Amino acid sequence: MPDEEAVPGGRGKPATQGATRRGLLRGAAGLGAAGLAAGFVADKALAPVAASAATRNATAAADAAPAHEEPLIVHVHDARTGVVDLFTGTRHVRFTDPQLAAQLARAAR
Amino acid sequence: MSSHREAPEISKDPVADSTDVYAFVSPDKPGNVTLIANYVPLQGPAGGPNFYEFGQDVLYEIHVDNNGNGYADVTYQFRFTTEVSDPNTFLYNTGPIESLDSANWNRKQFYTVTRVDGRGSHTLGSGLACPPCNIGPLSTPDYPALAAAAVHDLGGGCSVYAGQRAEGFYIDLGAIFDLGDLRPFASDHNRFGLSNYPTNAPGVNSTLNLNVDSIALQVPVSDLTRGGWTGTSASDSRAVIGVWTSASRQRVRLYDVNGGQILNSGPFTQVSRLGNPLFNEVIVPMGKKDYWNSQSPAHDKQFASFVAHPELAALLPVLYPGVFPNLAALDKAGTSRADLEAILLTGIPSGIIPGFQNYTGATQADELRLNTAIKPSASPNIYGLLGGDLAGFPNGRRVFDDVTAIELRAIAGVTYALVDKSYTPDAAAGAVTDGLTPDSLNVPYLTSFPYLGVPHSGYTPPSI
Repeated sequence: MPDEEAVPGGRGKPATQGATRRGLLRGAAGLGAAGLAAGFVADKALAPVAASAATRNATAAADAAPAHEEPLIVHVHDARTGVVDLFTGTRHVRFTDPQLAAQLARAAR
Repeated sequence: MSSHREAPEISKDPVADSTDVYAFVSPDKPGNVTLIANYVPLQGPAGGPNFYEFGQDVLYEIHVDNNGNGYADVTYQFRFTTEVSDPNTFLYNTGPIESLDSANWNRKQFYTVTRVDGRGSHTLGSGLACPPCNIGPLSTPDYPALAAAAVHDLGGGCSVYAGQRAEGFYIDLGAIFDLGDLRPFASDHNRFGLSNYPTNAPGVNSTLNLNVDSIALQVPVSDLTRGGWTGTSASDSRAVIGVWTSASRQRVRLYDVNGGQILNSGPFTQVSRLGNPLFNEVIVPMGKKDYWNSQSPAHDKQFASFVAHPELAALLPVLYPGVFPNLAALDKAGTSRADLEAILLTGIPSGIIPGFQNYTGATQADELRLNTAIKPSASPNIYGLLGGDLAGFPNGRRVFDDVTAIELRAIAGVTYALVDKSYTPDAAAGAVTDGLTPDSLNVPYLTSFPYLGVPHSGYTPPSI
C-alpha cells in the first residue's frame, strides 16, 4: 500500500480528515434514515439499522446539526473490528463502531 | 503508446486517462511556457452521437515542481461541467454550430481553472467554454474559428484552451506491440522461428486520423519558476521546472439504479498521472502500473530499480540477436543505468552535455523537466538532445519531438556513454526507430497556441 496517497494539488498529504466522527454522525442524524437509504442502505432490511443509528445519535441531533444535503455512503471496512468508512461530499472519515458494523453486517445477510 | 491505455485499470477509464504531456518554452511567445496535458485517447472522429468530452466527475491537474522535492509547488486544476439544452433529443447538435453559444449545440462543456500554490487557491477563470468536437462540414463548418474562440485569456499573460485536437503523437503501435517489431529493422528480428515474417518496411502511424482532448495552458515563465525567476543562465537551478499531469476521481462511485445516475462521493484520489512519455508504459511492470498511477512523483524512488534495470534493455538483444552486443554485455553485468535515472528521475546535471542541465536534485521523481532559460531552437531537431537540440526532449517536450525514437535509443545504450566514457554504444543504438516522423501525420501542428493540429472531422474519410 502507498505510504502516502497522491491527492489533488500534488502537495502530498491526504486531505480526507476534514470532518470529525461526531460531526458526521450529526449529519447522519440530521439526514436520518432517508439519508442512509440514499447512500448505502438501499435495502429495506437495513431500515432498522438506520433507525438505530439515528436513535443512538439523538443526543448529537439535539445539538442543532445542520441538514445534511449530500448523500452519505457507509463502507464497513472491517466488520470484525468495527472499522467503518463514511463518505460524503468530498470528505472521508474513518471511525470504529463495532456495534454499528455488526448491525450492518447482520442486515446484509 | 506514450501513456495511452498504459495501465490495466485506467485503460477502462479513458476520460481520466492521461496520454501525453508537453512542456516547452513557447517559440512564438518568448518568456512564456506552454503546458499541454492530453486525455481521452484514440478518438475515432466519427464517434457520435455522444462525442468525446472531459469528465465532469474528474479533477484534472497540471503540476509544477520548482524546488526538486517531487511535490507540486504550483498546480492548475481544471473542473468541467456539462450543459444539455434539450434532453429530449438524441442529437449532439440540431443545426450548424457556428459559435460557442450556438443554440444548435445541444451538449456544451464549460470549465473552471484554479491555480493552487503556496499562497492558496485562486480561480483564474470560470464558465470557460470548450469547443465542440469536429463533426463535419454541416455541423462544424469552420472548426478553426470555433477553436480560436475557445482560446481564453485568463489575464496576467495566461491563455487556456480545453477541447479536442488532432493527436500529435506518432508511433507504430501495431508493430511495436507485435513482439517488439520495428518495421524498418524487421529482417533483424529473431522472428521466433516463424517463416512468414514480414521484411523491412516503413513505419505505420497507428494514431493517424485520431483525435485527443487537450488541456493547454500558456503562462509566463515567472508563474512557474521558484521565486518567479526569469534569468537567462541555463546553469541556474531556478531555471528548471518539473511538470506532470494527474487525474483524480472521488473514492466512491455508486450506480443509483432508481435515478439512473452515478453518485460520486468522498475525497478525490489520483487514478492517472504522466510526466515523461512512456515511463509507466514501458518502464513500470504490469503489476504495478495502476499503483504507479496512484502515487506522487515524490515517491518514485520505489520504482527506480525499473529505470536502472529496464526490461526493454534486456529484451532488445534477444529480439534482435547480434545487433546489440554491447548493450547485452551491459545488461549481463547488471549495470545500473545511471543515464536513464538521470534522464527520467533527477534530470541531467551540469557537465554532462555542454551548455545544458535540467537537474532538480537527488529526489527521484518522474517529471518532465524543462530548463526555461534555454531558448526555443531556430532549427528544431525531432531527436531533441540526442540530435543536438537543447530545446527538445528530454528538456521538456515539444509536440513534434520523436520521443519514441529518443527513448528507444537511450534505452539501447546511446546515452550510457554520457556517464561512462569507456562504453561504446552499439552502432544500431543510434539508429533505432519505429520509422516515423512528423511527416507521418496528415494534419500539421500549429505554429501558435495550442500548437496541436485541428482535430480530424468525423465526416472526412480517413486518409493516409
